[in-house]
Amino acid sequence: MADEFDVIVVGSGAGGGMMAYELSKNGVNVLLVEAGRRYDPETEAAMFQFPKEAPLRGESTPDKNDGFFDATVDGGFEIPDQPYSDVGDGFKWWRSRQLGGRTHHFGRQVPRYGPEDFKTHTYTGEQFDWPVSYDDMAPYYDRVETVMGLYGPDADGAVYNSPQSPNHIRQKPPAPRATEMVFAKACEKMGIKTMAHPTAVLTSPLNGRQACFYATNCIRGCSIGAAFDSVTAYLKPAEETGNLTILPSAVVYNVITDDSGKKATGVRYIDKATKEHREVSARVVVLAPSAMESSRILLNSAPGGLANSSGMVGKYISDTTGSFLLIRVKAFENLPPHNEDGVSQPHLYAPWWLHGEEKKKAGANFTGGYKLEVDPYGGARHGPPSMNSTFSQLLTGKKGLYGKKLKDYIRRSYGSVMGIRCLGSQTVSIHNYIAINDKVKDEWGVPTPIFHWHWTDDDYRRAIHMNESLHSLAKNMGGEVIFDGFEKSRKAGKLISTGGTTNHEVGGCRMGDDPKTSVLNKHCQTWDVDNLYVADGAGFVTHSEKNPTLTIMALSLRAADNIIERLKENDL
Amino acid sequence: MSEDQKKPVMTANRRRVLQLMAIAGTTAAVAGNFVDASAQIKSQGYGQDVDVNNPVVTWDKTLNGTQLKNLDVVGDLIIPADDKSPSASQLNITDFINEWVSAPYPTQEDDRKMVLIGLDWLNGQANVEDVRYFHELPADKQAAIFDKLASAVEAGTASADHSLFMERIVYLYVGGYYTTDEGMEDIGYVGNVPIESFDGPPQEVLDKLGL
Repeated sequence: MADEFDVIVVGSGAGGGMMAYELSKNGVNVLLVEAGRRYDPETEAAMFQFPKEAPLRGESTPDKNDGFFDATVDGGFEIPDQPYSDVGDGFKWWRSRQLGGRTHHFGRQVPRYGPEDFKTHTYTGEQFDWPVSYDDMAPYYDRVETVMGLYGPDADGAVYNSPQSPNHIRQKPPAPRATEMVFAKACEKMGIKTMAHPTAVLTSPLNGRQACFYATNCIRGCSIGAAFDSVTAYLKPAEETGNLTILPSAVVYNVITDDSGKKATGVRYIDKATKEHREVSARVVVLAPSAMESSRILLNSAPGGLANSSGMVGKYISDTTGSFLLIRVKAFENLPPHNEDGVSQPHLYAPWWLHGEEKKKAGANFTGGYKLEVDPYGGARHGPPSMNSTFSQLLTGKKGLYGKKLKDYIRRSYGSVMGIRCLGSQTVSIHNYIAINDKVKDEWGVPTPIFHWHWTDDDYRRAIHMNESLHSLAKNMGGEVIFDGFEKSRKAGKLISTGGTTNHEVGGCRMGDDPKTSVLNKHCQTWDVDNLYVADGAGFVTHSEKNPTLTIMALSLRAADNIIERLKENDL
Repeated sequence: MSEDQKKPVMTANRRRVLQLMAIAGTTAAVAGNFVDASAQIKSQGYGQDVDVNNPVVTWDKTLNGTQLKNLDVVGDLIIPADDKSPSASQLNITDFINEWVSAPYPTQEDDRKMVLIGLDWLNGQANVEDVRYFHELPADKQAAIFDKLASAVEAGTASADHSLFMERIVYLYVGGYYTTDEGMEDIGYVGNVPIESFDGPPQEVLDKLGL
């Protein structure tokens, strides 16, 4: 391919899509390189099919880890011939290989990081500060949300450190479900405030995209564009500018530099159709193939790693922490049939509520916090009944039940068993990092990652508190706990499941003010290679309890501004 | 949300199946003149890039006629007909069980082994009554044998493989049955339809919940 591009963007998900959109809208000539095939939810997403229409009633398999109708293409935790390994407490790596990346499978939860999340060290003396503050990021959140579209709560009712999208940007949220009304009442008793969960789903039309019709699971992809994804919101309008070229099925594995190693000249990739190794060049290279993949590419690009004078490439990776209880709430038995599908995401949540002195008094002796919500598409009457999400839950603790008694039980109890859950921060640690395994290569001959993963004592303290809060919540909802996924691990003093499984893994190329201790500066530009940027989740310094996607996109947009400005000034 | 946390029950089962497989191999060898629990499924799955709008089952169904007849009896013991909805066999849920246990995936392969071990046991009980197969017994004797199994499972006195067989076969029939139109109607699922706006539960639901 000729040297005709200003910028190469690697990866088309949240970070890469945002980058390609902003650059091409500003007249920058962009080549977007994506490892997967082209994918368009408008024609490909399965919208109203019931489980009975799929093999195995649509249940998860090693081929489709989140069920048959999930939008993920050539991905999941395990991909044939794309191995990885882990050391320590366990780590699983979710990938997608399709245009738009993981934004199709995405849960669409888009909370903003708050002031303390960006400056954790300043506020608490623990962990680290980011080189940007909430005030620096707020205008970028506004701009991302304007293009992405979201519904959310009244911003005036926001609680400390969980800022909400301004009322002129967010759309009106759907009403809470019955289960969520009971959840809200229980939280109120516990002194915890609930509100609509900021969610990248439209409840009014936006930019030619339709409003949600309150049916079908967002993880199937959205053919009407109500649920945000990178293809619909970013790449289609970007292609219309004429400034964006998309190169699909091209697996980037190296960034190429000049002899000095201080200037990127392009990338090396494998053309999946021909299996040929090729190169393409541009004035700027932006990596956004996913946080873990960015570290892998940099570590594979030069001996000792590219942009790694700090030795920090691959370090300080983190995910969020999860906790879950299955509860039976008798009040929900024998209710008249009613439609509880709604948006397939939580309509309500309780943002983290303990700070400062209150946090100390509550014995919450850990960094960060967690949010509470009702599992939106699992149990209760949420979504079409499915084997694992509905009936496995209903049958929990009912060993030996069969016949007429079983039928009566299911008729009476349908809707009364539900999940309640937490999503929590993770404490970042130097012991959590990606190394490269030269001995094990993938199908393209590229060395594979080893994930070193160790929960900290701080994580365990938080997880215990999460578990206890869920038990209190269950009690206040009038619920009997019928399954505690962490009961066994609790006895061993370990309450956390496998790393990576909340699908919020970030870090590995952390941002900072000091080139000695960070990989990226505040514009997501690598300290070492002037024209190389990393615009996915790799730049995260710490990980709050908030889902990271919105912040990934805001960082990417901020990096795009910097690139546009430097291109204008002929600085690149 | 953590995907593995959403599937706690399946995960626990899977672990348990793996633990039991060693024992199960022995059991099958003893009772195994009827079924071969170690038979491997050799077909391919549907892959990671599948046309979700045109679902196709890519494997053959592998249970034989006798096994299907046995399962039909078991299915109707688990889900009999009543005045509101039909029985499992009336909706041919056994055909779904056949699809499930023939699938080339680990969970399904484990279930296949458990189902065949369970059927072997039921046929063994029929042998005591001088009949070769469970489905050939009179209905009252079928019910008595099945109830003996279920009661032991409920009381926690059943062997690990009997317990797992019962748990899985009930789960598979319930899952297969209540995801049909008739099953969804029985429990009163009324969603999966496009609506203009989501305004929350109706008044009668609010009243019942005291909201």
